[in-house]
Amino acid sequence: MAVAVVRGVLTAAGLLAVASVLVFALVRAAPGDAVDVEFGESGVAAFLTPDEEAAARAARERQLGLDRSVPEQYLRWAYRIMRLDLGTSFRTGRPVADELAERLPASLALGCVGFLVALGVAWAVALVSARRPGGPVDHVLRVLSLTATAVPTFLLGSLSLRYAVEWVGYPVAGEASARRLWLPALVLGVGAMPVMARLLRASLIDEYGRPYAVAARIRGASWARVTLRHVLRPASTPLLTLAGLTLSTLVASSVLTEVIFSWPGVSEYAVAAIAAKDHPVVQAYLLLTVAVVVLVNRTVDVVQHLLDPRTARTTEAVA
Amino acid sequence: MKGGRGLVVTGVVLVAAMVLAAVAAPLLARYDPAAQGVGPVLAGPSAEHWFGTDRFGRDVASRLLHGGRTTLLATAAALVVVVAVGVVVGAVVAAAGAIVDRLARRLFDLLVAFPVMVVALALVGLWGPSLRTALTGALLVLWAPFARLSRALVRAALAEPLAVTARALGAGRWRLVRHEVWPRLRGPVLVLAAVESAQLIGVVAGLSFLGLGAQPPSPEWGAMLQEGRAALWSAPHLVFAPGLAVLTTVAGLTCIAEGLRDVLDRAGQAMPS
Repeated sequence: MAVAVVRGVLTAAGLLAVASVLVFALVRAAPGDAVDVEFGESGVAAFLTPDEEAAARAARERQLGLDRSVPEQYLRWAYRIMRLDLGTSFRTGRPVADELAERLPASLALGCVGFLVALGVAWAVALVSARRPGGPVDHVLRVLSLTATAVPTFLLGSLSLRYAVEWVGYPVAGEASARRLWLPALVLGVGAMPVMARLLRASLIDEYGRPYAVAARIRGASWARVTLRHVLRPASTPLLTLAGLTLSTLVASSVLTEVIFSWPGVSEYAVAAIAAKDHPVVQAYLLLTVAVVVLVNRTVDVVQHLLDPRTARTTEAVA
Repeated sequence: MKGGRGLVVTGVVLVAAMVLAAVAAPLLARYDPAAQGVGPVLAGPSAEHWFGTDRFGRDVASRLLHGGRTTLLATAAALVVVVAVGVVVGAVVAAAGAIVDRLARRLFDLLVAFPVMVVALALVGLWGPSLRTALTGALLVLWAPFARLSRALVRAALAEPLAVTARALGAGRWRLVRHEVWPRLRGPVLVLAAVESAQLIGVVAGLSFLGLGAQPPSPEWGAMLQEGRAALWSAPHLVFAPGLAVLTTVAGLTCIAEGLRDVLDRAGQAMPS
C-alpha cells in the first residue's frame, strides 16, 4: 500500500512538472510579454521619448528577470509558483492567489453539488433501466440520456435561467447561497449524468447476471434486496474509472454555468479576466486547473489500486 | 437487437441534414444573411421568418443556414488535423521503445484528462478572442485521445497471431498497416472522431456564447449565440435558434458514436471508452 501511495505522489509530481513546463511555454509564446502589456496598458509610453522608453523597458525587464536565459526564467517562475505567488492581476492590482482563494469555495460548492446531482440521477436512471434491459422504459431513458448529452450547456443554462426567473422568481444576482445554487447545480448535473448512467447500467446488468445474484434471486430474495445487499457495491466500483472524465466535464460546463448564473466562482472570474487579456489571471487559472486535474486523477488511481490491486494490471493492458 | 444500426442511421440523417443545409445555404436562404431590416426588429418566429429576426432586423433562419458553413467547416477541418496528428503520433509511439512509450503514455493521460474548454479559454486569454484561437486551443489537447487510442490498438493489432505470422512471412511495414492494423483501428477511431467532434462543436459554441470565440457580425452559430445572449430576456428565440442548430448536430454525432459503439461491441471489437 505504501508503495502505491509513494508511486502516486511521485507520478503526480512528475506530471505537475511536465505540465508546468507546458503552461510556461504557452504563456511565454503569447504575443506581448509582461513589459509590453504594462507599457501598453498604463499609457506611460505616450509621455516618453523612444530612447527613454527603451531604457525604461530594459530596466523593467531586468527587474522582472526577463533578460535572463529561458531555463533560468522557468526555474525562477516555477519557484514563485510553488510559493503560491501567482502575480498580481492587471485589472484589479490585487494578488491573483487571494482573488482565486476567495472564489474557490463557491466553485467547489457548485461542483460538488452538481456532482451529487449527477450521481443521484445516474443511479436512478441506471437502476430503472437495468431492471428490464431492452424494455420500453430502458429505451425511453436511453433517448433521454442521449438528449441530455447533446443539449449544449449554454442552451440549457440560459433557458432554464430565463424561465426560472419568470416562473419561480429565481434570484439573478447576489451572493453565493443555497437559494441560488440549486439551478446551476442541476444544469451541471444533467450534463455529467449520462456517461455515469451508461456505465452504471452496464455494470448493473453485468452483476445481475452473475451466479451469486442469480442464486440469491432463486433463493427468493426480492429484486430490491438483491440490489441493495449484493449488487450495489460491486456494480459501483467501475464508477471510479470515470472520475477523470467527470471532473473534466464538470470543470468545462462550470465555466458556462458560472457565467450564465453569475455564480461568484473561479471560472466566472477567469472568464472576465480572459476577456480583458489579464495574463497573470489566465496563467493562474490554467495552473489551478492543471493541479486539480492531476491531483484528482492520481488520487483516484491510487484509491483504485488500493481497492483492487488487479486494476493496476488490467487498466495497463486496456488503455 | 438492432438498436445500434438504427442509432447510426438516425445520427447520419441528422448530421447529413445539417451539412446539406449548410452546403445549399445560398439556395435555401430566403434573405441575404447580412441584410438588415428585411423584417421587423426582434420579432419572434413567423411564417415569413421561420426563426424570427434579430435586433438589426436580419432573418435568423438565413443567418443560421449561412452560419452553418463556417461552423461545420471549421469543425471538420479541425477534426481532420486532430485525427491525423493523433493517429500518427499514436502509431509512432506504439512502434517506439519502452521508455518513449512509457513517457508518451503519461503525457497522453495528462492531456486526455484535461478539459478542452480550459485550454481553449487560456489561449483566448493570451492571444485574444477569435474562432481560430479557440479552435487552436482545442487542437492542443484533442489530439491526445486519438494518440492514446491508436497506440493501444496498434500494439494490440501487431500482437495478434495473424499479424505476427504475416510479419514472420516477410510482410512489409505498409502491408502490415494495411491488412492488420488499419482494419482494427478504423472503427474505434471513427467512434472517437464522432465523440470528439460533438465535443468540439460544443466547446467552440460555448466559447462563442461567452464572446470569446467567433466574433459578430459574421453569421456563425457561436457568434449568433453571443448576440442572442444579450437579448435573452426580450427575445429568447435568438438563443434558441442557434442553440437548436448546435443541439441537432451534436445529437446526430452522439447518435453515430453510440450506435457505432453498439455495432462494434457486437462485432466483438474492443472499444476503449
